[in-house]
Amino acid sequence: MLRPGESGSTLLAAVATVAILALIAATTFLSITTRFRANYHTAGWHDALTSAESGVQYALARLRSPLSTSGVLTDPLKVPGSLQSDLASLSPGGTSTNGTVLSGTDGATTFPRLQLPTLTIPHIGEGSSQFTATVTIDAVPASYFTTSGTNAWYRIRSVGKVPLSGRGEVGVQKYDGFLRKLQFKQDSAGAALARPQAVRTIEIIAKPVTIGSAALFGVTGIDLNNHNVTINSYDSRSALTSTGGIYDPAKATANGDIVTDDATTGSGTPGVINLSPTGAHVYGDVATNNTPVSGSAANVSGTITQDFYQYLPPPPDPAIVSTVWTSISSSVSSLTTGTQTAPTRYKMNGFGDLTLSGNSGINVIAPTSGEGYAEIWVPRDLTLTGNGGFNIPAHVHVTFYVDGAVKIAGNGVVNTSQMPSNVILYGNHDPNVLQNMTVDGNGQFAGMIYAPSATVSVKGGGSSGDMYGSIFANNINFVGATSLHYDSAQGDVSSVVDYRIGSWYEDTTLAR
Amino acid sequence: MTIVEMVVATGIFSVVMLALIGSSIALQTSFGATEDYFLGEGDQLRVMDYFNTDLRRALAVGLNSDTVSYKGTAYTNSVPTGASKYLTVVIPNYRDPAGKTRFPSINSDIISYGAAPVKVSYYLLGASLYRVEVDPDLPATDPRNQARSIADNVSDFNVTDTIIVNPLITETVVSISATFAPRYNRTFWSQSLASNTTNSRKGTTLGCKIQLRNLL
Repeated sequence: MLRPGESGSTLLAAVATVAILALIAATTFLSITTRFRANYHTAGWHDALTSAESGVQYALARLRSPLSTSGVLTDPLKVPGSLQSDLASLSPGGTSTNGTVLSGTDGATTFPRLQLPTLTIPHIGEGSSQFTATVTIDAVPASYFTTSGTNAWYRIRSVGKVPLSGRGEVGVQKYDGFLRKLQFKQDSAGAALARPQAVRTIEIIAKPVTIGSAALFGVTGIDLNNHNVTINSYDSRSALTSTGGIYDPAKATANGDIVTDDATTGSGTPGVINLSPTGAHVYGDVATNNTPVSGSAANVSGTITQDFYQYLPPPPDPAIVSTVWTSISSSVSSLTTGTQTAPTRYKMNGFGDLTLSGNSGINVIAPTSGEGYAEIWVPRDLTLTGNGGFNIPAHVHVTFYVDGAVKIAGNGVVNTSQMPSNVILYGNHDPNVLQNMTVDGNGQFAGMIYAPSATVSVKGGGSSGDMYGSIFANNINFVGATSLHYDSAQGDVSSVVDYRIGSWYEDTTLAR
Repeated sequence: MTIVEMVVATGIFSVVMLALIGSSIALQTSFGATEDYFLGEGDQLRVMDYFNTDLRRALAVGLNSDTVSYKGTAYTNSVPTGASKYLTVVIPNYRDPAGKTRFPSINSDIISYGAAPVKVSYYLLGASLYRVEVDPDLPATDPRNQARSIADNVSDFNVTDTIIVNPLITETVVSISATFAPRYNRTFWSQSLASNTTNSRKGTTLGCKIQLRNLL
């Protein structure tokens, strides 16, 4: 029997016990929740970087898109509505189908800035269902360039945002805030936020990759099957690495890179770079896609890597380049030049072959001042032998479009300036056409060959059997004692085939 | 109340109190372990995030040194005496002293932000991992140029790619790890009381691989 005053004491004791235990449990769960939220916010911060990188890749894809309009190599500046042409022609405040035209400034320099429509990225799983990336693109103004070519470089700035779940609270460690700078109440501009967010900003510089970015590019491989083969480089822009802009053996450099995608050959096997059993001399890097080089690498000055890939679009189709061509025959003795934007254009008549032999030659006439430009379309075979060929004086730029076989021997193309970028030889634009090109003899051919579906053979023969420039082809063979001297400057002035990330930076100072 | 009732009541009370105290201790232990777990995880994530962020944007990397060479110039951060391990990188000097973003200049295909890069060093001092970022355009006394602890319970960190000591021309992916002294470890609880033993750090090593974006 309970005495007075004892009634309910057990109940009170039980309630007190449960209350204490509940308090401890509540504290534990509260602590867990806070920590969990902090780490959950960290995951959102990581997602923000993914979003920002997606924005960069989206912008790069937009830049690459016009490079192969109609399936062939195309000047993006001549594609209406491309990012490149808009950034080259628009003024701040103008309109563009690509997005909003803003005004970028740096000191006294003002330039147009394109802001692409906000990229929304669906997300399935915990947290926010939608990430966003806001991307702006500038063409780096010419005043920021020094000896870096004529092709535009682009600055891409991407801001990735991810809404954060739960209440806006700083993590339990103050150190977290120093790094992540999560935005809970206001964004970096001071505007009120409807919900907390993680923001990360990255900036990349998109660097143009051109048809002259390497000494040799063989899609299915390169055969340098002689230890007397030499691939090296110079830079015609610098007196330290050239003499008067011309290759000087005493100043040669080691940027003569040779690369391959090691795509499958006709036999179905992967292509390979063969450096001969005793080692061809390569003063530069060697890069393949996945296949090890064959032969001895003892004479390679640079590194050998196996993670290279680059798509090469077919050469330009001259019928698309222009519909107006002046018809000429092989008996023509001279050709005039025009301007860079309006070059003179000539097309072989008759069956479309052009053969020059003996002492027959075609002189391309230099302008009285400035630079002259001419384009020559050979619908079938181009054969230049003996002393017959083209004489191309300094300050003249000639582009050949050859649809058939090419044979250049002797003094077939005399490029007086010896500037490779002044002579460009494009192969057939149809990737299904098997094309053969041969450069041999004692001639000193200086130029750039771009024929991704052609087999190019270079055969040295004499003491002056050197070549200056670069070769981009399906397969490349060097035979005998042959040398190629790559001009590092040519990569800056030739047609763009791709853009790569030249600089990558995440701005953690204050995410915007 | 008889003596028997007293004994029975005392016995029951003791059992109840033991259960109560035991539950309380278990809950507090669980609470402490949970707290330590999340603190440790937060430290690990933060340290990895710092390494990731700086290495991703690095222009050059130097291991076990307070000096790194970039474009033929050596950049050194002064590290306090007693620091046991270093990692130094240089990153683009993206903002001017006023905090405004810089536009890059491109000279002979080389991209540069500002006249000289920013130096970032990590070092272990005691149990704390410090990060110091030195912007050459700011005064040495500027708070932004001062070292700051980023984690307080770190035993060690490692960059496991030996290639990093050579010029980074054939390898653009770097593996890095950090080891933490455990705050709570049930399996190795006795060793965890003795600091810096191998077993005490089991299960607290965290690592990742980082692609160096500027060294492609």
